Amino acid sequence: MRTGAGARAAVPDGSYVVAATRGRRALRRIARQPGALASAAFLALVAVCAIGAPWIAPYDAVRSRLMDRLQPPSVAARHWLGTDQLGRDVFSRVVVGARVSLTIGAVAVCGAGALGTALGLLSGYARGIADGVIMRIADVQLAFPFVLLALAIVAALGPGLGNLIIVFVVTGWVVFARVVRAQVLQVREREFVEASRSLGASPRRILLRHILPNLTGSLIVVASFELAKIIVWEASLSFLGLGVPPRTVSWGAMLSDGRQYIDTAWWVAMFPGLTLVAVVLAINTIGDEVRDALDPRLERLKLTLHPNRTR
Amino acid sequence: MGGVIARRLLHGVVVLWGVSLVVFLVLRVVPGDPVLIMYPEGLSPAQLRKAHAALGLDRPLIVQYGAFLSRALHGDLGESFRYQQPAVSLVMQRLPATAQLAAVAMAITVVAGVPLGFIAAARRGGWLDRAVMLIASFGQSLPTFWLGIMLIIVFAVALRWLPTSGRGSMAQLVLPAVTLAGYSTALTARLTRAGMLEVFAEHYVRTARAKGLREFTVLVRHVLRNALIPVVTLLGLQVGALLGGAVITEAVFAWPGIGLLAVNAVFTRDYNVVQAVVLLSTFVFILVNLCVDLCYVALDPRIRLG
Repeated sequence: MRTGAGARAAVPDGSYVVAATRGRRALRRIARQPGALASAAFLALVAVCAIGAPWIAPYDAVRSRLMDRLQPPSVAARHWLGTDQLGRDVFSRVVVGARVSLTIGAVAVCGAGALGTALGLLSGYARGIADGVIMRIADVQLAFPFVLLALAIVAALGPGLGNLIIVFVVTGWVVFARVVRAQVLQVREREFVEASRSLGASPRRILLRHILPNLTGSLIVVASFELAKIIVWEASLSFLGLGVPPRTVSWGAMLSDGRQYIDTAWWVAMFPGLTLVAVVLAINTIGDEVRDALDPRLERLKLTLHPNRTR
Repeated sequence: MGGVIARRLLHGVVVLWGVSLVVFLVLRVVPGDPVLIMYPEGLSPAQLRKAHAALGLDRPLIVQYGAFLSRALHGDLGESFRYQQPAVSLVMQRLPATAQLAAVAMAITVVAGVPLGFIAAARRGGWLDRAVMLIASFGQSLPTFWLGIMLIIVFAVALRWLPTSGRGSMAQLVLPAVTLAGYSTALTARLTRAGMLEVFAEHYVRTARAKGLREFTVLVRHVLRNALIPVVTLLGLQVGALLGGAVITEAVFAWPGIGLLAVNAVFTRDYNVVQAVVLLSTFVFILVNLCVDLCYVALDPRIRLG
């Protein structure tokens, strides 16, 4: 899309070219950060575990073996992370649990992102009544502690994977909509949008081909922070018993089970929790790095980090 | 100035009305019959109709909402199906426990978060800065309930310094308050640092240094003071996060506040109690942010004139 001669010709101020190189430069900067690289590698590993769970997990994650209950971690017994109160292998359950977290996280982020982006584009480009209505709804929702809205929805719909995703889409679109709207308001005044409009491009074409590509960076940043948030909240709601249905293997539910045994069998709660924390930390680290790489304002901050004077 | 206050007040009222509509619709339109939950052994169709009529559940939705709104304005949010008690008084009984928890958590956030950010910014680029920022980004990634469980393992189970749960003594307050404060402390530290780094670039900072002021005086009087404006906004917004986090924290530590009340009400589908918790929390949240806005109007002439 950005390489065609026709596309370039439609860019009087060369902003496509600039955007493309800026994106590539940002990627190269991120690739030099050891923290971001390690995080990406770890997330890839977790994703592989989630996809290949049936082949990777050494034991059945659901069937109980009461003879082996609450075994401490041991390489010899082939329970690397121990077993839980029903004799199920903690390692297998952590691997299988990655499926619930990542699936809900990915689906919900895509849903919230699509809804929020669409409403943000509409709000920022059409302005007027649509903008007023959408942004007032966003205000109301932001004035409302998220957990309480989630509680109300779960109270009404009952726990379940689909209902959890609905909760996260309904609560997550606001951030996307606000960020997209703010960016659209800036981008729509740029010369290449005006040029395209004067050439007779339809609003749909302008939005999808000219404005949306310029939002990619901000969308990646928002999506990564939202993904981390959703994964934490899925685990938190499951921990409260308001998330995934009973018997579903999920990190939050494992923590809830393990809580009763923290004084005798710390490993039941420890390992799913550590995995959860590591995943969230990795996602946030990548989000931070992408934001730093894309935000030119931070260049100024970097300069003030190393002032040429002695303290 | 009066105009600004009136506008903010009106905005708060609109938000509260919107929240009441959402909560009402979510809890009424979706399935789940509270009568069947009150009487799990089942009722005859005639008894069921009578019970519905007694609760007003047989009338059209818009009438139900109108009745609900007019009663809500008189401070009546219905009865708890489970406790046979007004939902509002149920929430009011539990509110002090949550308020105490949130207040102590907020105090920890301010007392720990701002100095941490200050130290990081003062030693920017150095190892102390990096250490503080590492802890802060770790703190932001820690789920509240996980932090709570870890604190219980270390300080209650292993070291036996503090009790695991309940409310009564000061010792029982420590772990839940620290748990609740974790996230907002990390966020405050990061924001204080970022705000200070932005202010460093301002001319008046250079002027202050050129005057020959001590670096510490420059940092406190010129940099920190100006960097704290966004931090104060954040703290206002954090009240919402604290109310939300209290739901989780109270469940982990069996702290008898409105969060625990709400979670239990969800389990028993005690709609009126869920509704009362949500509406009263939103009310508190809006009120706090209104106060923050008003503080600004008083403090910052640019807002007053703008």
